[in-house]
Amino acid sequence: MRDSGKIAILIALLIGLSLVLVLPGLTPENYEFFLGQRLPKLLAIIVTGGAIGYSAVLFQTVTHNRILTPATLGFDAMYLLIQAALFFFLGGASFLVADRNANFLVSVVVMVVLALFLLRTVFGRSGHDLVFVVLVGTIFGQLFRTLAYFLLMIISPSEFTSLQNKMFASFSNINTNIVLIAMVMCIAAAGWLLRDMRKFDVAGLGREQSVSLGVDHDALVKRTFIVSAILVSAATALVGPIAFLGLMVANLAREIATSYRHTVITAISVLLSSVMLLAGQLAVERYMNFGTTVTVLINFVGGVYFVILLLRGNRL
Amino acid sequence: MIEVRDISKIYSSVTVLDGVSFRIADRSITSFVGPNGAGKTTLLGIISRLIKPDGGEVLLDEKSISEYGGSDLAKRISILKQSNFVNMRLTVRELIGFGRFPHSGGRLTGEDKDMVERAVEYLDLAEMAEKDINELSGGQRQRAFIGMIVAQDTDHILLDEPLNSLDMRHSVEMMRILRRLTDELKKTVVLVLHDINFAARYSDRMVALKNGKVAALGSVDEVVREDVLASVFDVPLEIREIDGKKICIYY
Repeated sequence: MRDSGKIAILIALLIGLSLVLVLPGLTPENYEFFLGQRLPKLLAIIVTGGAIGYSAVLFQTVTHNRILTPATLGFDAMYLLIQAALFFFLGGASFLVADRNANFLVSVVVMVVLALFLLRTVFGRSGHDLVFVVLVGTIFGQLFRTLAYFLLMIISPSEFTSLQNKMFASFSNINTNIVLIAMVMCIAAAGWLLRDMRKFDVAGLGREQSVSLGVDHDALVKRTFIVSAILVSAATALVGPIAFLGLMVANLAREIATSYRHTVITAISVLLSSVMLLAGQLAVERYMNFGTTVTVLINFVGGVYFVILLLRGNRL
Repeated sequence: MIEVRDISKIYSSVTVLDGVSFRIADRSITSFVGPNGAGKTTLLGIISRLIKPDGGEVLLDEKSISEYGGSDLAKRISILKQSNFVNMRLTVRELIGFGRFPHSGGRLTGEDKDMVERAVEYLDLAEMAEKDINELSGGQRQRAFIGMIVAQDTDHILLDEPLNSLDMRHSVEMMRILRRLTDELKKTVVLVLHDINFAARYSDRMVALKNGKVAALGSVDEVVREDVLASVFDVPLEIREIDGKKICIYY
C-alpha cells in the first residue's frame, strides 16, 4: 500500500473514532451541554496524541536511536516537578498556580530552559553515549517524580491524594481549561520544525554524515529539544504523563511507512498516536466502565511492545 | 587547497594535537599514519569541521573553513566516518541521492538525478541500486557511501579508516576506487590508514603523526624509511623493495 493510503486510513480512523466518542446520546435539546463537555476533551486527547507522536519521532532521529523519547529522558516527570515546585514555593492561591493558562505558560518556559540545560550537560559531555543517557534519564525521571510527590506530601500530608489529583492531570481529570492555548502552542512549535523536515531525513544518517552534507546538526538537535519540551509540556499538562506512548507510535510509524521521509513518518506517528488514545478512551468508557484508565491501558500495550522490540533484537 | 595551520586540541588536559601545520597537495592521495592515540582521527575530524580545534585554523583556498557557510563547505569537503550504521529503511539509490543535499536541499532536480545515476554507474552499483542498504555486506555498504560522496561532487574527500572491518579483497577494491577518484575525477583524497603497506602502495603523500605532532611528512619515499617509521611506531621494522614497491615488514 502507498504511504498516502496509510495516512488516509489513519485520518478516517481518527474522524470515525472522534464521532463515536462525541455523537452518542445527542438530542436537539441537550447537544449544547454535551458538546461543550465532550469537544474540549476530544480536542485535548487529539492534541496530546499529536504532540507525543511528533516529538518522539524527531527526538529519536536526532539522538540516533529507537528507545529514547522525551518521556524516557524524564521530560514529563520534569513537568510534574515544576508544577509541584510552583505550588510549594508560591502557594495554591498564587496567580501562577491558580490561573491555569498562566501556570501552563510559565511551566513551558521553565521546561524549555531545563531541556536546554539537560542537552548541554548530559548530551554535551557524554558524546551521545546512548546507554549513559538512558540511565541518566531513567534516574532523573524517577528523581523528579519522587521529588514532586515529596513536595506535595510536605504541603499537606493528609490531603496528598486529593492534591495530587487536583494538581496533576490524568485521563479521568483532563485539564480542558488550557486546551486552546496548548493547541495553539503545539501547532506553532510543530510548525517551526516543518521547514526542517528534509534536514531530519539527512540527520538520520548520523551526526558526522549530516555535517558532511552541510546540515548544522547541533542547531537541529537544539531546536528539537526546545520543541519536544513544549510538546511534552502540553501533553503532560492536558492528560498527565504517558510513558510508553511515544516509544510505541514512533517505532510503529517507522515500520508502517515505506518512505524514509520524515514528512511521512511524523504524519503517521502523529495520527497513530491520536488514534490509539481515542481507541483507548473508547475502550475505557464503553467496555471497561472506567475500570481502568487510558494511561494504564496504553502503558500496558506500549510496555509489551517495548519488550517485543528488545526481544526481536532490533538495533536500538 | 587545504592548509592546516598550527592546530591544537586538548581533551580534558590531555593534549591530542600540538601545533600541527602542513598543506595538503591537491589532486593526490594523502594518508595519515601513526600509532594509536597519535591524533590522526582527531586531525581528520578538525579538517572536516566535525571537531572544533582549541587553537589554530584550517584554511580552504586561503579562507578559514569556519567562515564558510554549511552548505558551501559541503560542496567542497565531504567526509566518511568508519561507522556507517543507518537507522532508516533506505535504498542504495536514495542514499546516493543524499549526496545532492548541499546542492539542492533534498529536492532532486534533473541534474541531480543525472549525478546520482553517474555515481551509481561509477561505483558499479546498478544491480543493487534498489536494495535496502541494511541488507548489504560491509564492503558493499561502504561502496554505496562512497557513491553518495561521488554524487556530492566535492573536490576534497576525507575518509576515517575506510579499510576498517573490510577483508583483503574489499580493502584493495576500496583503495583502487580512491585511486580512480584521484586520477580520473581529479579529487583530493585524505584518509586515515592503519596499514602502513596499504598507505605506501596507494598514497601519493603521507603524514606520520606521533604524540599529536607531525613526525614526518612528504612523498611515500620520504616517509617510508626504516629510521623514520621505526621512531614513529616504536617498533623494529624492515623495509624491502619488491618490484619497485616498498613493503614494510614488522611482524
